[in-house]
Amino acid sequence: MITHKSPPLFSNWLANPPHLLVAGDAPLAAALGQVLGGAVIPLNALDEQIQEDEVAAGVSYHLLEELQTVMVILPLSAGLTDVARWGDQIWKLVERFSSMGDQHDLRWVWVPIVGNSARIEEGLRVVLSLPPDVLDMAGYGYGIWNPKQSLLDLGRVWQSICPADLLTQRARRNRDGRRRALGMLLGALQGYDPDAVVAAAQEVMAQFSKEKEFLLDVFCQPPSHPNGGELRRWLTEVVTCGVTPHRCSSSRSKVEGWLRPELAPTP
Amino acid sequence: MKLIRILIVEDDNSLLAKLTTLYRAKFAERGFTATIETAQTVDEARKLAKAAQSHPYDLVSLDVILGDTSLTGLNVLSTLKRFESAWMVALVTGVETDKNADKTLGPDVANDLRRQLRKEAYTRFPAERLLVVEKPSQQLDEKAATTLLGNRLEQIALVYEEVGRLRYIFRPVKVVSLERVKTGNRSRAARQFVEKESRHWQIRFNCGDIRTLPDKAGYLTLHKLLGLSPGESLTPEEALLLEPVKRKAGASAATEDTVATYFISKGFPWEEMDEPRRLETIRAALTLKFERYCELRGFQADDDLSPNEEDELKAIIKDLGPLAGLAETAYHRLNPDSTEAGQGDDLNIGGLIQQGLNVQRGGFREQEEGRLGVDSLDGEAFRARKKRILDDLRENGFAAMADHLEIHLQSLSSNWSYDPPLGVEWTVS
Repeated sequence: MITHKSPPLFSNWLANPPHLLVAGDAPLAAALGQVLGGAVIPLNALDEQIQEDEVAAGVSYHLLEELQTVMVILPLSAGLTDVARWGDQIWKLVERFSSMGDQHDLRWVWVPIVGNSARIEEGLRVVLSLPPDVLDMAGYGYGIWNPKQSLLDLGRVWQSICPADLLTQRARRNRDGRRRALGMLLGALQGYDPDAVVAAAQEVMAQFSKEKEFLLDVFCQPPSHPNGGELRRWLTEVVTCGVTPHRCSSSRSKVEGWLRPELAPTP
Repeated sequence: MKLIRILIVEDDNSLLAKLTTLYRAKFAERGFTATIETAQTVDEARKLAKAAQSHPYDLVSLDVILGDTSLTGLNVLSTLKRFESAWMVALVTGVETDKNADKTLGPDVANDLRRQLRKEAYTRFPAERLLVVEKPSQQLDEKAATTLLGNRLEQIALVYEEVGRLRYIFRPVKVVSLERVKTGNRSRAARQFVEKESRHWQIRFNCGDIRTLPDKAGYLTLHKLLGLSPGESLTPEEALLLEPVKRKAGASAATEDTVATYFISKGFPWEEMDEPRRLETIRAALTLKFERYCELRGFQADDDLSPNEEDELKAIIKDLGPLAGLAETAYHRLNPDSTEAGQGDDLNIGGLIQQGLNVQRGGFREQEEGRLGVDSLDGEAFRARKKRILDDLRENGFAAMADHLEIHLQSLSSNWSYDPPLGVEWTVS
């Protein structure tokens, strides 16, 4: 149940189920929330496992039943791993607090405060597992609005987006070559087959070719950049020098510690 | 003529055309006029399933392999269940013999699907409304395959008719539970378990799940109404016979000390208490009652009173007896902004005009829902009982059923009647 320990925003959502959720810490988030009539949630609130009390109590309130749109205000310091993490956290909230669960349709509008929208868009495509040949993200449920543009442009972006649910995103992730290659690598390590491990490592290197190696950080657990660096060094070593059956065992625990757990192949 | 709304999900164009023709023909033979919609991809089917939440499909014919490498007809099945947008589903599958399955999904996934299809399907959709039907083998010639497919669709139509009888259920079920009771008059008498029977109600409305609710006032009357033939109605006398108003035993004794009786019934040792203690107890009880009365009246003013709270409010008014008027005055004093009628004694022209020249003290009742004139006592009783039933259904997850009854359960002068739309037939036993 919603107790005095629950964040006040949960009580607010119970009284006024939001149609729009604005996730962000900048004054822009508060301003957009006020102007557009949406609920504002700070980014650090996404990082806290605030729904665990409710999960433990076995009580479910459909706080986000009416939610239609999510806006994420990306701070200057946000990296792609943060983008991936916040997106997943918001989906977890929706799954938990909507009766439609992973089939709840949403529109997503990403708002980079400062920075190159094109680079943000490229990074989002990887995070969201969008096919590289897709020109328009709107058909997949996502859009980007630069705050330098007008609110009218925001309205156009918003209206052009076709809502999509988490089930569709998960299916897209299952088809993502990068994720499949990383899943194969984890699977090969579990099988302790050196040849399979080398082949999988080569496939991963092919998927994250030069100039795109930094994207490997997106698939690593925090701290993502150091873990991504360790993984890149390990991959180079395996591809260059091979791996012994004995080293498969020690490598397995290391790689599983670097990569995000949801990449592991399902049994 | 009966109507049926069908969705056919099939990615093979020629098979889709064949299914459309055959379904229309087979259901026409059974007296149905079919409206058929089609979808050829998982995305399209899931969009239609989500859109059909308020107006579900009667039958969905669903292929399993739909050309998507990650999503199959089983995902569409989950969506149909989640959004309650299909009454019955026929999973028309050829995955056992379809060579394209290996190419589309990969051999590992396709083999898993072959082994687990039925098990997976029945975990995603209620088994009593799900048929898994094989497509004719690709090795058969065109004519034989069409005849075989036609026979299978005919079986689907037959099952649909039978299963359709259980779409709307409101029937009593006996629930036996064990209750520990004292056997003997001594203070430390032994206790034993005895069987206790109670009436519950098994309910399903449209494509929702079938659930059981404990008995509540009004359900027996509702059960009678749902079982009436078209054109029949229920008189207030019949309703009273079905569910008589309960009266407490011994309430008519005029010479009883009602205050003593009240406190003794609450467990107070009234006879042993001296006068100051009795006064203190009365004062404390009244304070609690008044506070709770004001709280519940506040909820009532906000139209936010649950059926249980309504019962509690009525019990408090009864308990307060002649002090109920004082409690109402206290409530209005604590809530001076209340705009409820009867609050003040001032009669001003503006107030009169706002109330439609309806003088509160003149013996006229408030206008209700735009109706003019005075409600009969029977009509008032019917409306109050109907509201209680519908509120109770809404609180227990049957909002769609409550909305349906709101429209189709009405009173004709003082008689009650239920006038459902075409296709709604209740199973009441």
